[in-house]
Parts: sequence; structure tokens; C-alpha cells
Amino acid sequence: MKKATTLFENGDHSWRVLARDPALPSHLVDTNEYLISSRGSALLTDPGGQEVFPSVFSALSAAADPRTLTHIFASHQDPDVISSLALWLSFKPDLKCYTSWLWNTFIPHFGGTAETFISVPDHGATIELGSRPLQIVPAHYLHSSGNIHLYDPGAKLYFSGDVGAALLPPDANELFVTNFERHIRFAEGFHRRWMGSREARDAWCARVSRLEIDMLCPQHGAIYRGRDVQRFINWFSELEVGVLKLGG
Amino acid sequence: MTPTADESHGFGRVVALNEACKQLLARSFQVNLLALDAMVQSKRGGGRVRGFDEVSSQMRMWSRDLHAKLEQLGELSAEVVQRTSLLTKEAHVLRLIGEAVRSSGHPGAQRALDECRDARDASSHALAIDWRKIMELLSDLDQLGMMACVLSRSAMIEACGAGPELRTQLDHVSREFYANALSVVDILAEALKAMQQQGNP
Repeated sequence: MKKATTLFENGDHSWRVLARDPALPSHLVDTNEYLISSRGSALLTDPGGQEVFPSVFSALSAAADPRTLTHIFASHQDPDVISSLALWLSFKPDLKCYTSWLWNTFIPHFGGTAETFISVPDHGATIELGSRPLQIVPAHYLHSSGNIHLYDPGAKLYFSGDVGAALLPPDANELFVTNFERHIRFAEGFHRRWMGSREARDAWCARVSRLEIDMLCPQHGAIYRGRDVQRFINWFSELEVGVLKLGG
Repeated sequence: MTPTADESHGFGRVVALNEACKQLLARSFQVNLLALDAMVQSKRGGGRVRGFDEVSSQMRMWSRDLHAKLEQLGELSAEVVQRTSLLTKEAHVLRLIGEAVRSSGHPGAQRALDECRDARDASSHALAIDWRKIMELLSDLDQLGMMACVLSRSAMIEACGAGPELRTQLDHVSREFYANALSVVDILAEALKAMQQQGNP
């Protein structure tokens, strides 16, 4: 089962990460789910694939009352992001799911009805959880053509989906980045291959550099804290992306 | 995949169980601390409160027993989530193949439907066994709650033997024991009610 770790807590406002299931089969990519709670409402970011649903559900139940879950946030349409949707709806049929308008007719193949989805326009949106504002930040083409992130200005935490993701080996499976130089090696191949557009990357780096971010929280790998947040943005801004070099 | 009421209720039952376990765990910690404190206090009272010391020690063992049972429940709860997820997926496949059978009438599709139904029935049976184990554990917990009520009544009686200085303190502790014991019984009753509202397992 995954374990819940509190990243931020101030009164009734909190962020918890559900991560690191020791029993995860090696053929499944590991994922981080973030539970944001405020005033009796909760939102789960990229709730994961259907195979990890039992582990996520049990970890969430240990950390909070799952009945407070009101929203799901899908950064994009990949199966490791949102293929568990039908199972979440089995638990709570009135859950709402934020996603880019682009995937409105695609993600329902995983489950849900027309009432389930809240379309996010290309320029993003400001939403409320409890009474707390959260900003949906556009991150299109990073990597998906309809891609969104979530920024919490109160907590100064930023959910970055696949941006910042790292595919960590089992012996370096830390929850937080502790050695940036060592860690970024596990992120490099992923970003070179998955991130398809230099223009989108530049726009994103400029946009998030203006935000106050204490933690950058990706869907895979370790969480960047403090100075490592800007170090990551600087590193990413200089990385060659969108080029596939085939050998031979 | 559109959820049915049964699937939704399966998760609802386990949530009711988990929330009760969290409250019971808090009671178990509280009684453990109270009992430790009571044991220290009764040592000060000497031979006159030896009985209270004994009851406090029993309460401490009780809180450990409660904790152990809750750990077992936690493991079973995770297993039930796993099985309910599987059952939800199987039920979905069954519905879809059922639609295929209705539209095609093909014997191959009917065979697939029968196999799926067998798999669903096997999962359903395994889930029922888990729920039975959970109900047995809940029944054990209910007895533990009753036992704690009796123990804390004994603590109240034993507190009367203490000298005037200590009596008020020990009386307060034994009332705290009793309040926690009653809470355990109440939490279990509420949990069972909430679980029944979600349908019988």
C-alpha cells in the first residue's frame, strides 16, 4: 500500500502525497497522487491507473475521510493519470473531474458521464476548493497537447504533472530530491523524449518563474523543494527537447 | 464504466469501517496513556490501591489488544478494497459481454459470458469471506468494549480505597476509562449502523 505524507498543513488546508507502494509490480510506472484538502472538500490530482486504485484508495482512507473527496484533477489523458476514474466514480458517483477541454470526449472512455467533467479552457482557470482559490496553469505540449498543472498560492505548492518527473531506480527512490545533480540524471531522458515543444517549454518556464513555489510536485519521482525548484526550472529551460535521435 | 449501487455501497462500507477504526485507534492510544499514568499514581498510594494498580495494568493490556485487533482490521480493509475494485471491473466486463450476447446471440459470446460470470461469482465469494472475518473481528471488539466497561467500574470501586489525597485523582482516571470504554461500544454501534445503511455485505 502507498503511504500518505503531509507536505503542507495550515488549519484545515493541507497537501498530502500518496506515494511509494513497496508492492507495486515492476511493469507499472510508479506515480504520486496529491490530496489537497480545504474546509471539508478535497481534490485528488492525477488519481492514477486502475491497477493502483486499491493502493491509492487505502492510503487516502488512512490519511483522510475519502467521503470528503469532491474533485479529481486530470493533468492529461494518459492511462497512468486517469484510467482509475471509473473506480473512483464507483465509490462516489457525483465526483467532478477537471481536465483540458481537449480530452472531454476521450477521457470518458475510462468512465464518467457528461456531468462528470469540468472543461478547462486553454488559458487555464481559477477554481475554488473549500473557500481556497487554486490556479489551473496551462502546460500544453508538456507533454500532452492538452496539459494542465495546478498551483496553490496559499500553500505555495505546484502540481506539475509530468514536468519534473523522474524514473527512479529502486535504490534511489526518495520522496524528496536531496541531491539535485544525482537526481536530474533520472529526469533527463524522460524530459528529452516526452517534452515535445521548445516553445511550450520556454513559455512554461517563464510562467512558473513568476510564481512563488516552495515545492514542485511531479506525478512521477521525487519532489523538488526550496532552491531545487528554480534549479529545475533553469535546467529544464536549457534542455534540448523535442528531438529524437535514432541510432544507425 | 457506469457504477451500480452495489459497487458504490461496497466502497461505502469499507469507508465506514475505516473511519471507525481511526476513532478506535485514538481511544486505544488514550487509554494506554491513561493507564500508564494511573499505574504511576497508584504506586504512590501503596498497598491501599494495589487493586487499582492491577486494574490499570489490565486496562493497558486491553488497549494493546484493541490495537492488535485494529491492525488486523486494517489489513482486511485493504484486502476488501482490492477485491471490491476487482469485482467492480468484473461486473463491468460482465455487463459489456452481456450486451454483446444480447446483440449477437453468438454461442462463443455466451460461453465468454458464462466464464465471466464464474469469475465474478468467485470474486464475490472471496469478498463475502473477507466481510465475514471483519464482522467476527467487530464482534470481538464489541466484547472488548464491554470488558473495558466492567474493568473501569472495578477501577471506580478500587479508587475508593485510596487516601483522600489520591482518591479524587484515581476517581477521575477511572471515569476517563469508563468514558473511553463507552465510546468504543458507541463507535462500534455507529459503524455497524453505517455499514448496514450501505447494504449487507
